[in-house]
Amino acid sequence: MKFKSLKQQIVIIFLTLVLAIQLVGLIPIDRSVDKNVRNLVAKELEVGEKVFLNLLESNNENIINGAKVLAADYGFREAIASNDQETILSALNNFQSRIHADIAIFHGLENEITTVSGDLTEQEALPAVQHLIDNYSASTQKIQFDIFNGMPYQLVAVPIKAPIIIGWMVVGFEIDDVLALKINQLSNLQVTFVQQTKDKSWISNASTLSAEEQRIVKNYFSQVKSDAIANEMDVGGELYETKYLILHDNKDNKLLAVLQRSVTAEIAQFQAMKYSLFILTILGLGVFSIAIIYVSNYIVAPITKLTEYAKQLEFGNYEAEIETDRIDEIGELSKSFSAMREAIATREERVKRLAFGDETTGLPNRAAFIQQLGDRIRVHRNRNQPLSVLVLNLDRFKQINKILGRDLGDVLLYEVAKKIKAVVRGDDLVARLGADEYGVLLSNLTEEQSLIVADKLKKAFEVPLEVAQQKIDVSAGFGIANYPQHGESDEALLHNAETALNVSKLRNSDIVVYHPQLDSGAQENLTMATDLKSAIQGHQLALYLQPKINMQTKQGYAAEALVRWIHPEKGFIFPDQFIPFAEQTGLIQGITLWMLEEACRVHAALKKEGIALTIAVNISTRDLISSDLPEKIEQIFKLHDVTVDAISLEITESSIMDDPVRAEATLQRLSQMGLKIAIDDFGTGYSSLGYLKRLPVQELKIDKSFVMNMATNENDAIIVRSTVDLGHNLNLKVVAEGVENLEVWDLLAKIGCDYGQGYFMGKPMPEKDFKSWLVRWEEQIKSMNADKADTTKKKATVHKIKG
Amino acid sequence: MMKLFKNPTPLFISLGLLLASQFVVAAEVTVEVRDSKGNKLVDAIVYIENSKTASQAASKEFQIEQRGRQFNPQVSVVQTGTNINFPNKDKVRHHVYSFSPAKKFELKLYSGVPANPVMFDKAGTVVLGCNIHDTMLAFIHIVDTPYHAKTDGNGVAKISNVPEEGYQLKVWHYALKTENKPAEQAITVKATNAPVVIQLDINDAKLI
Repeated sequence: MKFKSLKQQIVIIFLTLVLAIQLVGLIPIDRSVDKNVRNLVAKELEVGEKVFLNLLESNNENIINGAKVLAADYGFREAIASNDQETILSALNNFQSRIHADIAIFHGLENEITTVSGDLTEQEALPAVQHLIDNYSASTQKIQFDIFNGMPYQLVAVPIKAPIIIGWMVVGFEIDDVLALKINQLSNLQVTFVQQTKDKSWISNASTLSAEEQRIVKNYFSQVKSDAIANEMDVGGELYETKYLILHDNKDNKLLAVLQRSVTAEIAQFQAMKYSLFILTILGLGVFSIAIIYVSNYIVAPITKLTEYAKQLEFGNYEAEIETDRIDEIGELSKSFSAMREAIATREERVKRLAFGDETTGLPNRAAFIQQLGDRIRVHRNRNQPLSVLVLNLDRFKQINKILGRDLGDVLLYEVAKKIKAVVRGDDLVARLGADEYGVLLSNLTEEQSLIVADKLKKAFEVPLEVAQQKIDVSAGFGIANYPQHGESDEALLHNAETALNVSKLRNSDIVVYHPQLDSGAQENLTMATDLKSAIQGHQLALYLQPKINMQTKQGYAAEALVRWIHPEKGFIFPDQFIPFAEQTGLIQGITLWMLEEACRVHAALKKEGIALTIAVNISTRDLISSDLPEKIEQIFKLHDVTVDAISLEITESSIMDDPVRAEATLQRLSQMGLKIAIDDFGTGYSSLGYLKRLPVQELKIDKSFVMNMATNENDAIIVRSTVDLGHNLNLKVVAEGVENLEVWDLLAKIGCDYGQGYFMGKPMPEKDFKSWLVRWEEQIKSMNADKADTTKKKATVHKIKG
Repeated sequence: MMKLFKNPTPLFISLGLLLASQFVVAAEVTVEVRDSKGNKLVDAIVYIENSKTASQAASKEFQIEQRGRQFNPQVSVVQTGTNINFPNKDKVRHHVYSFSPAKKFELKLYSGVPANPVMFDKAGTVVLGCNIHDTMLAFIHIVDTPYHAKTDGNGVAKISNVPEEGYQLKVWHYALKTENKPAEQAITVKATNAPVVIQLDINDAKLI
């Protein structure tokens, strides 16, 4: 049998035990009651018999003593001696009434005279008297009975001595209901005197029983032979333990005393006792049940509590305290439990730190982040609250690590962690997800709010980090995924945030929020990589030229080569859409080489037409890092049989900063080859001027973002002017990009910018259009000069007025 | 009991000596009395009668004293007309009585010697009792002859100075089953007589 609970077990086992003990007790009690009652009744009967006999004996003695008084009376003896019958009879009568006897008889020996007081004749009395005298013994006075006239009497005989026996006194008492009742009162027995008469029929003479019961007893004796009389007799449904005494037995009659004690009444008493015992048992069981339940509660309740605690532990909740003031085994167990809980908690804390922590930054690691993310998602799902996962990846960390060394790299990572933590709220989880990747779990923030946080972070990164007294610029890409719109599981959210981060890296854009198309974009990227490879080999790329104009001579001097991808299916693809990807994947090197070759070919082709055009080709970071670039360029020159002025190179500030040492070395070699080098997008990076000064560059190209609005934005104008001045001070030519109208042109020309590039002069164009553009440009110059003349006039006028 | 029997002995001896002097005319009768089992019977009364014996006067006095709340002697034989005195030797008083038809009398509570002796003038048995002390019992057998005796410890009774004649020998004992009927036997007394042996049927229960 299996119990579901310990309490049940204790209660059932103990109650069964108690019940069993009670039953085991009850059964022998029940069994012995009958036996005991019979024994008891038999014993009572025995005692009753003795009481009965004692009573008869004491009766006997009383009668004897009374009779002796008369027998010793001198006058009475004198009357006997003188044979005075009348005196004798009157003495007998007197005596009989004095002691309340029923019979008094004198029997003289001298002359055999018998005098009887009472209703008997001499003839009736004589046989009994003779019998009594014959059986007389002075020492033992037997109790004697006889029947006179059908009635039983207790009789005594006393000798009359003068001083030898001269006669006998016989005194008798009738056996009647009074005697029976007296015996009953003394012995508590039912007494019946039954007599067998001469004709062998039975009559009852005296009894304590009812008439009907007497009849049954009498009938019993008439039916059963005296030697077969049982100990028990059923008298009208009541069972009697029965004993009988033969009081008198001669050939004529027989007198029996039937002593009885009811077994039924006695058993009824025991029955009542059994009933109360049963009630007591039930009550006892009740009390015991309550006690057992209390005790089992006392034992089991703390165990149940401990089980609860154990379950809490199972679920990893180590907070719950186990409190106990018990000093018994259960108290000990509780304390052990408590100690175990603390030990487990401590150990788990350590394991967690190792498993979920990052030693370098002290932040949780990726596993911890995912776990927490899962927990938060569950909480937020229930509360229907938004959640954001923000992941960020440091730009160029590998390079930084190489420059700083691993130890300082670690310090940098630590500082980055500090920076992120400083920006986000205290309860937002910051974790290190990978080498240079961090994750921030933003609770309760909508997409807009998370973008604000990302922006704050981005701004924070604009402040250089200080590592070992060095200020280091660190930038990062950001990807954001929001719960629930961007995923409902921890895995999905993190994956999507990282997808967004990748896209941000690919596109060189700072913050990207995930949307489903990015996934397909990633898919696209794969296809793009294959496509781009075949594009480089399969002549899907095209070289476009955007002219650079000398701002003083207004003559075409050079052009920037810009790559275009004419996809066989997708058609025209702008560089923004594949160049960052090509840079990421390394395909950029193939593109660069293709551009260098194409530039040389175009240069050569244009030269044949009489146009000497130096074509500027953009060189990427990867190109700069690969040390064989100079050799490759030389091979291309040889291949197309062009001189070094066929092309120039443009590099961005950031491309140098990724690996400044190697970039510088490559640049030096290119410069030594006679190649002219320009810094592209100047003003967007953070390169120090001191560093730039060391580089073998001849040109600065001001980023179009400053130039485009310089006519309307004074700050931009100041930046452009200072940059031009700066360039000139460093002995560099300055090129302005994004010149889109005459106004800007004029401003640039006025501040002495050397070259201009922009839609105002010419959009990027295929090689075949270049000649026709030149013709158009000549026309434009003429009109510009005409305008200029007007303007000068106006100015002069103004001067005049001023002057 | 033994003491009681010793007292009369000197009397018998002197009597015997007196009779011996008249040896010529008188003879002695010896009777041995036994019970039915052959045991010697003490206190049996032996006497002889014939027509002449009743006329002989009895001038003797007799005495039955009460000592230690008992009569002494308990069994006596006297000739008709004998006066018997009942001196009380006890400190307590006695009430001697007899309801016997041979002599009814009573001596109401007395001590010392009563003023007058009681004359027993009728042959028969008198049973003496004391109304105060039920255990006191004595028998007096009164006979019409001077020739009587009582058996001693050997169950032997000797009657002396008996003229040589024919007699009726009678033996009585208080415990006789035949009550007051003595055993009888005719004898002839000669100068010398062989002892007569008499057997009596005795009710042992009545022996005192």
